[in-house]
Amino acid sequence: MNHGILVWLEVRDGVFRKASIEALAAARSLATTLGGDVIGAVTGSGVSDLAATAGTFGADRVLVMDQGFLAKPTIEGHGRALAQLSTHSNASVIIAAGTLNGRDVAAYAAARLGAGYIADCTALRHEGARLLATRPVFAGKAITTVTTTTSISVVTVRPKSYDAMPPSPGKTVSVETVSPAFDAALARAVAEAIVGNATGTLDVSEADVVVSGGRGLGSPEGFKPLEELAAVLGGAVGASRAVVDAGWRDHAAQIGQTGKTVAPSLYIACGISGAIQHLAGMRTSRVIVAINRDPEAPIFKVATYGIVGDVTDVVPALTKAFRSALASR
Amino acid sequence: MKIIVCLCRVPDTATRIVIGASQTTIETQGVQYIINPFDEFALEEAIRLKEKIPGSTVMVLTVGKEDAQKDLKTALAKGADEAIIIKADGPLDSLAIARLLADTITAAGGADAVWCGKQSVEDDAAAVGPMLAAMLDIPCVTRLIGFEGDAAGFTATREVEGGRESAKGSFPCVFTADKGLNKPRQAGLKEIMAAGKKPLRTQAGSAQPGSNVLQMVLPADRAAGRIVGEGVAAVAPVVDLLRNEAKVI
Repeated sequence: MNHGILVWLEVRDGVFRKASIEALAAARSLATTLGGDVIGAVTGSGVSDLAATAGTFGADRVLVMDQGFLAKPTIEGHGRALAQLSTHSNASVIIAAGTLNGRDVAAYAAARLGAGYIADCTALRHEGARLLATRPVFAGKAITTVTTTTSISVVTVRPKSYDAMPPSPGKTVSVETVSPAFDAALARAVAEAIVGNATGTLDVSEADVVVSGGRGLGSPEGFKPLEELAAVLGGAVGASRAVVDAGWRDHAAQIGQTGKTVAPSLYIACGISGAIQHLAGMRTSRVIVAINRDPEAPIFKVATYGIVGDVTDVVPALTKAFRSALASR
Repeated sequence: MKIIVCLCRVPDTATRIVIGASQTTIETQGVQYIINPFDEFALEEAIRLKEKIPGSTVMVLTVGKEDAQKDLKTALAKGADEAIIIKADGPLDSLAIARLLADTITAAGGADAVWCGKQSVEDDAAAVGPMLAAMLDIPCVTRLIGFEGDAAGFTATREVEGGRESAKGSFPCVFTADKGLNKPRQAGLKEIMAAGKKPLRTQAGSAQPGSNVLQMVLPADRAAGRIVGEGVAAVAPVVDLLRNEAKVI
């Protein structure tokens, strides 16, 4: 019997993260047939007012733990808080957004609860009372269907897998404040401070357009035209493992099995041959454009549109063409 | 300082995945296994910490089978002092693996620093580190790309979406390593010879998984694309296709 679905609503810069609102939509869709309430769980410091707005995004009611020691995004503090709110709510399913923080906190809470945990799901459904989750493994080289074997299930939902529901502004729901029943000392053991963006640019995992470069660019300076192209498209610049290992780009930009998995609307691969571990990290992009001198390069097997040619000629021409195309829109 | 490193073996990232007969795992025949790349960074950082703090020891743990011996010997050659293979039957998930590791760490009298890779490149769950911290009741800092530690405590740098965070704390703590943390060393011939004398044992363990895989399939193929043309001449047609056919700009 289902006692509800609890959704951890991650707060960053005073608002719910977009991926958490998507997680609420995932819970809503599951609750349609599984039944039970969709319960928001908000943990943080000075978050009570924000918690009261969770109804707008699809929660039936909200539990909040508003404590000074939760001001920082520590795994221990928020993990323990989420575990306690889960027990308090009696929910059968706990969902968090598959953000970096969400995945840490959910895994920690699952261990505290002794609950089966399924990470980074792209779809959730159920068969009777049994939760079934779809999740990619090997960075997307294979797709699994996973279930839990425990009475409580904890899952994280990959960002952009569910569309957020249209908000119902002003919808008020009941808010219950819960006090911590655990020692907060551990949550204070690690002090964290955001030291700002490394590069001052959009992260590849969040960008809607990614312009990615490989060894075919010849040198670190070869990325300059890619940055110009990305700027015109409002996108981020990614990189293959080879150029990150060579020290041309920061590892934060690496796309592939030992880097990031991305799924932008448009992925432009420049001078990337398409090693299997790179393809794993970008093959679910909606549209892929590949530019490579070698017509036999594996990247062309996954590319929607291919251009055989030298990136040093083609990329600046693309930038120019996009600039005028976007200006005439 | 007592330092523990958790390693796992994974198929080489160049592996082309074939689904096994059970339809729940990959076909392992012919697959080359390596130490999980993120675990290599964890091992390196653990050895550096040991070298910095006199009297420290590094114990390496892996949940697996006897075939992990080769990789554990490599870890011993690089500077670990002792290695244990924890053998458990049946399919294991993150929860069971974390439980097996936590039980072994507790039986060994606990640890001041526990190092793991941020995730395996196999399961991609990134769950064992935080779960271990919950089970051992110690803090956890994940996805480190920078680390400075001494007997008094540590300062670490980690990546968050579109930015970086710095974390300060004291031991004990669980750390997970990301690419960029360090450049792992290679073991020399002399060290490899000497590693044969270091203790490496296998012990049995058991833990209940909390989840299981019902099915594994290959992803659907992408719809066949096409080469639009060559060089700069292909630029205008591609931009047109992106706008009018794919409708992404």
